[in-house]
Amino acid sequence: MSQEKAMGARYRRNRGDTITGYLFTSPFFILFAVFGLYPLLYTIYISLFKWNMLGSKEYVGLRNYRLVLLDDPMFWKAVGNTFIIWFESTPLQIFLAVLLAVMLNQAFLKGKAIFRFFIFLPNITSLVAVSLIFANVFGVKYGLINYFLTKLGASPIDWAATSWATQVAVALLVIWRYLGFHMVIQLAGLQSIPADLYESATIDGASRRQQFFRITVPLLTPTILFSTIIGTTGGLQLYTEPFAFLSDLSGGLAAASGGSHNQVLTIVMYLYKSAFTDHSFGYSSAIANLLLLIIILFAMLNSLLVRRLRG
Amino acid sequence: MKHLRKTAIAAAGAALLISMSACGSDNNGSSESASNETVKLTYWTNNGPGLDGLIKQYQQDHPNVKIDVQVDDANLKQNLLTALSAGSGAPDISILTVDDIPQFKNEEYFYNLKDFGADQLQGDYLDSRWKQGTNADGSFIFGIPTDSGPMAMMYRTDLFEKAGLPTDRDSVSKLTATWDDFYKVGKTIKDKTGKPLVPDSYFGAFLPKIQQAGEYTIFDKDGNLTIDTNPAVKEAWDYSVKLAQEGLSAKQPDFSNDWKVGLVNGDFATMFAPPWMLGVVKQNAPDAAGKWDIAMMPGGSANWGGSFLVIPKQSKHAEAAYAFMKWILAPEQQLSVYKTNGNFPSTPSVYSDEAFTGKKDEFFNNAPVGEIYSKAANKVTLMDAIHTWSDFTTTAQQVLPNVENGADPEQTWTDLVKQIKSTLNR
Repeated sequence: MSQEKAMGARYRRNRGDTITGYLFTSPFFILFAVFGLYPLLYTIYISLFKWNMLGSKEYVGLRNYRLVLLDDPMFWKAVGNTFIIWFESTPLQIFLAVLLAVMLNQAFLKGKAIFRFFIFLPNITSLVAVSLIFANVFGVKYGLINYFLTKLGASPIDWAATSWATQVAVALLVIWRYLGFHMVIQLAGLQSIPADLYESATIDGASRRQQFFRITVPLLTPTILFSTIIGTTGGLQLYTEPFAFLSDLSGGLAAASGGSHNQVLTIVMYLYKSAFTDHSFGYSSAIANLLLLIIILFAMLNSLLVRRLRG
Repeated sequence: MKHLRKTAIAAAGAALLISMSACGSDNNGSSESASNETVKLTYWTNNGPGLDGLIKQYQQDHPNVKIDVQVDDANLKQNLLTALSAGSGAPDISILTVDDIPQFKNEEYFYNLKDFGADQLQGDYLDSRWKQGTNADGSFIFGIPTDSGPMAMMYRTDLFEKAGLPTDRDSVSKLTATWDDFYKVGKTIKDKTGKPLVPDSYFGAFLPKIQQAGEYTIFDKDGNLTIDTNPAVKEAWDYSVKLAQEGLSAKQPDFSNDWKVGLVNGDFATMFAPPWMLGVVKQNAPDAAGKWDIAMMPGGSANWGGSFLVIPKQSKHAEAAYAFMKWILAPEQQLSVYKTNGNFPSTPSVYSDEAFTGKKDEFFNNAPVGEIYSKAANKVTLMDAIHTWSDFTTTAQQVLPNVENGADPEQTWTDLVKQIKSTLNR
């Protein structure tokens, strides 16, 4: 006891060790300062200027924010689109992920590894290939779906020009691509539920249904919550999927605007377009900061939810 | 002792970190090279200009020059913007496309190639291309042109025949000499075969018509937006709307998947194509071989594509960079790239070479592509290369499909003008 105390005192006194400790934790702080904090502060600074990146900056105060919020229907359209696509993809995706995970967790199922592999495969497939395939499936004139629709006597859907159709197509792409990822997470969550709970429930005469709703679902809630957070932050930052899909579907530069009605223009796509197509870096930075606010809002909502669930 | 070692390890770790974060700026400060000293030139390019073979040759002929080629098809423009505004990280030589160069025309960031004597090269290049690389009065030369993209018209011989129209190149060129003629031909084809005239109303009408409308169309000389006051712009819009509303557009825009299939199936009767597009067509629609021929396009020609090589002010080897550029873009080298890669030269003196006069393309019914495109290249009129007008054309490309699908064209136009105005105001 006394020896421990003495050692503690020695460590407290030793300044060299304190420095060592800081040095060991410094990589994170240095990297964060360079790649996280500095860009963050600089984005706030830039958002107060009118700037095309070359040439001089013109200080405009909060003008960019005023323009974004009050005078730019496209920004609100992008916010709306982002939430529509998020709403069309994330809940269904997590529901399917849980369903698949439960199925794959059944003892009687043979060849689990193979199923797991194929469900996870889309997640590691190159997006270039994925969007090309999806553009072929949703092709307006020569797409697979429209081919079957016409065969069945229905009228084909213009996936490129009909707003809801393009949004659904992008949502399906997102679901398909990330389902495997969420499924693996749910599977890990399922396997961390102790087996003896099920055993004693069986002994007590609980049905499988009861076991599912009374044991599996409550104990899986933290994992589902985690998936929801990942899905939401990913959904709010959606960029590559709609962009690559549209490039293949309708070709050319129109993809940068998120379709002919801006129907799949997400916040991040709009941010990028403002910077690199419209050359308004201050304006683009203002959008970035507003996106940050939205994400903070969601993070707070989320932590509130977690706290309430815990109790 | 033990304590000392720990501190040493930690210090080494910190040193490693610092050196890691410092490695972004290892531009060695060596000044202008002596003749026997090795010069390393960093060269940013996309996959477009096909200069690889020549770069190898140049290094063999100049053992003291090393050219570090960095290919980037996706983010070159963004990276160059970042490097220039950050003040470090720019290459010695960079490529800039025709669409991108207006935005970069800031004399603070580039060498004036006139200081190296580039003004003496002007006579070697097409006027319409050369002027895209300079400032308004030509006193500051930003870049030297790489290859060119004069447009001609691909047409489906089977559809023309079915519509009872002539199918030989000269007759087709005469038949579609003006945009009015082109429209009439479209009507005939639509009536007789049911097939539309163009892939979409943007590439098939709006863009080429804007490009043909003269130097100051979208902006005036002083940079004021003139899309709502210059009748030529509205005329191009109205013409595109007419094609769209009368079913003369196939709604299969260039580069879309539907377009690739449409090339084979003959879903549209014509398509405007610069020389590089012929390669794109062959690659994406190999089954279209023999179905298309090439004639002149309505209204002369227009340039689509091509680039410039520029030297950012950050370069410490500008003279060596210029020497390399001057050689690799000279007429002789442009001719050699044409022979190996098919990139169309910006230097008209080589058009009389046998490689041009004798060049036929089997894929396109043995069309004499060398002859057709040399003729087209001389008809290209200069387009504004001072103001960034691509925002406008990109937005027009984005909203024209709505008109093709029944949106009110006047309302769409009003919204378009309003959007461009507020974008420019940001």
